[in-house]
Amino acid sequence: MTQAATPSMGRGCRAALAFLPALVIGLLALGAPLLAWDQPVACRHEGRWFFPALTAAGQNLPLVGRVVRRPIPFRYPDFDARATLDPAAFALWPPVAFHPDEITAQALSGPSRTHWLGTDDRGRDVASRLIHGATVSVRVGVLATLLAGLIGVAVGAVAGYFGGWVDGLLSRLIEATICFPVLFLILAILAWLSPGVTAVILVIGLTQWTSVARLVRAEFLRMASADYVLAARAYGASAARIIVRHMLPGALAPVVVTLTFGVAEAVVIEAGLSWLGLGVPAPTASWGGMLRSAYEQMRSAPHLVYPPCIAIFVTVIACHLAGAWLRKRLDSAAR
Amino acid sequence: MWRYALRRLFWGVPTFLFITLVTFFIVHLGPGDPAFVSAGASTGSTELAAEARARLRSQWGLDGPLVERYVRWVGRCVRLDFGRSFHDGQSVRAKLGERFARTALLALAALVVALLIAIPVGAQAAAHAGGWFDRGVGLLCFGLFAIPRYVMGMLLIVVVGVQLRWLPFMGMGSPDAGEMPGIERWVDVARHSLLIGACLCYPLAAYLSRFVRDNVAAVLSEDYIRTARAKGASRMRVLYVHALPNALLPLLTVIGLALPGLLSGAVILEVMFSWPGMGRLMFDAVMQRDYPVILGASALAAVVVLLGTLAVDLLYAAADPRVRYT
Repeated sequence: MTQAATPSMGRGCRAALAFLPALVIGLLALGAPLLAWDQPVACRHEGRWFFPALTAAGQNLPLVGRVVRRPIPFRYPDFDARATLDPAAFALWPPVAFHPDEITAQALSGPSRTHWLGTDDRGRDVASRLIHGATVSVRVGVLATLLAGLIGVAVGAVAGYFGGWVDGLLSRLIEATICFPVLFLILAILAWLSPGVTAVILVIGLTQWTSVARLVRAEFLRMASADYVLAARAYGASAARIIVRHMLPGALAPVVVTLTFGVAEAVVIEAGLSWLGLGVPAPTASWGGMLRSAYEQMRSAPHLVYPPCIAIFVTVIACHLAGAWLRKRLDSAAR
Repeated sequence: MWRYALRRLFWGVPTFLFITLVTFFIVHLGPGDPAFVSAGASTGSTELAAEARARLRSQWGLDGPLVERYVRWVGRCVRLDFGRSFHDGQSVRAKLGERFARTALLALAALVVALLIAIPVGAQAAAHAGGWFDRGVGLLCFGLFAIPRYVMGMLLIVVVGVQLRWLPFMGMGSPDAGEMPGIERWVDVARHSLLIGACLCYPLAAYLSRFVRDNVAAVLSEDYIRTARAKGASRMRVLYVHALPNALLPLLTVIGLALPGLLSGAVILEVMFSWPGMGRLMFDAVMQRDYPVILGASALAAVVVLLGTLAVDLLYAAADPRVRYT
């Protein structure tokens, strides 16, 4: 449903413009500690150089994160860099000098020079939580969409290639999954996993694959009688080889478009689940969780509502822009 | 036509069984024990609590093998008997009926308003495709469509409900609604439904108006439109009498696809606005491990989806004589 609603953009819509917002949000998510952390990006401490926020950002990276370690004094949770560091020594602080989980003395304060977007009900800096919320949203959005894409391509390809009763069975599966409410699946998944990012990724991945599956199935049904497929079959290529090497490349382009829109959908579902208290659990900064605490404090601190709302909106727009541009490119390439 | 409908219904049966079977297993294998939720917290002594739990489990039929319980459940389901809620002992069928009516009222109102907006806006945009109106509406729809419904809900609650105090936003009626005379009570319900209704309506209106626009624009280049113009029909007549009816046919499919989602209730919105509909019922049931309600609600949702798609296909064929049943 998301896809068709995007109107044709103006002719001046360039690739850079279409992908810039998504790129900015992605970088924000990767480099969150460089922008908001309670330790400096770079500083001199007891005669040595330290890069605590930089290494914290490194820990967020996929794969590399496990190897990166923060320098010793900065690793302790009770190490207070603001009080301990020599004020005369060099220190490059992030623009928002607060940890997302750090509880300050003033709760529910409005925007000010120390707290740009104010503080929430527990006195945590909203700007810092907003920036770190991007990490959760982008991680869930991208990984859940990849999972959905993998399942969708696999189911759609098998259904479209083999047809017959296999197609009938898998089509019923697709139909049933569409009817199946997201809310129940989270129950099932929480039976095996504790609530957290992994559970949310699984829930979204396992429910949102149907549009890709239907797309790939339709493409495969269309391609099944193409000459090159018949030729491959004639010289004895295996089904797996024909699917992966001969047919999949032709069906991949529209899948990429769908997945770009899917990232927006996944981000929205993640925030919604976190709002309901079923997503990313409480102390972790997430946009849905921030929206929830804003909901609970709406009479005393209505200003808390706007930051997460705008963040979610901008992320969705960023994905839609990129998706609309990709689709337009593919459409004109097809013609 | 009847043979086609019957065959579609027949194919709906395995889908229905699959959905309810998966839900049944998920619900029963999931964490948390409804007997524990119900009896564990209230009783102080652990031995007493264990005994009470065992009694509740046998009373609720939670102690047999899973497959046998599923078959029994389907058997009762066919007779529309969904059992009683673990939570308050009410009949699940009565609960579902009441909640479904409230969600359906809201959903249908939102759909009708969305169509009333989308059809003229879409038709006008198509008539002047590429003009300032078309582009402006396009940009507006693009923006509106990127706002998730619950984000819009939060913004409306805070701005219209809390800061401006224009409209109520919690529940379906004022606390003193029982004492109001008939008309006033309806007005009260309408006022309470305005904000949540708007949240359901705007994405539909945005989506449908683009959809109508694209379809009307495609139809406008057909030969019979040129014929109508050549015969001297006015712009309005060409647009609304010749072009629109044909462009609206695909709209049926879209509505049919959107309707089940609307009717099974927007969980987050209904929780946010304390609207006592299907979504809220499901959420509460999931949180309380109220098995009969969860199963009943998912069975109802599945039936609505299956019947919705069937109804659309039949309507489509009834409206367009070119479509044949196969």
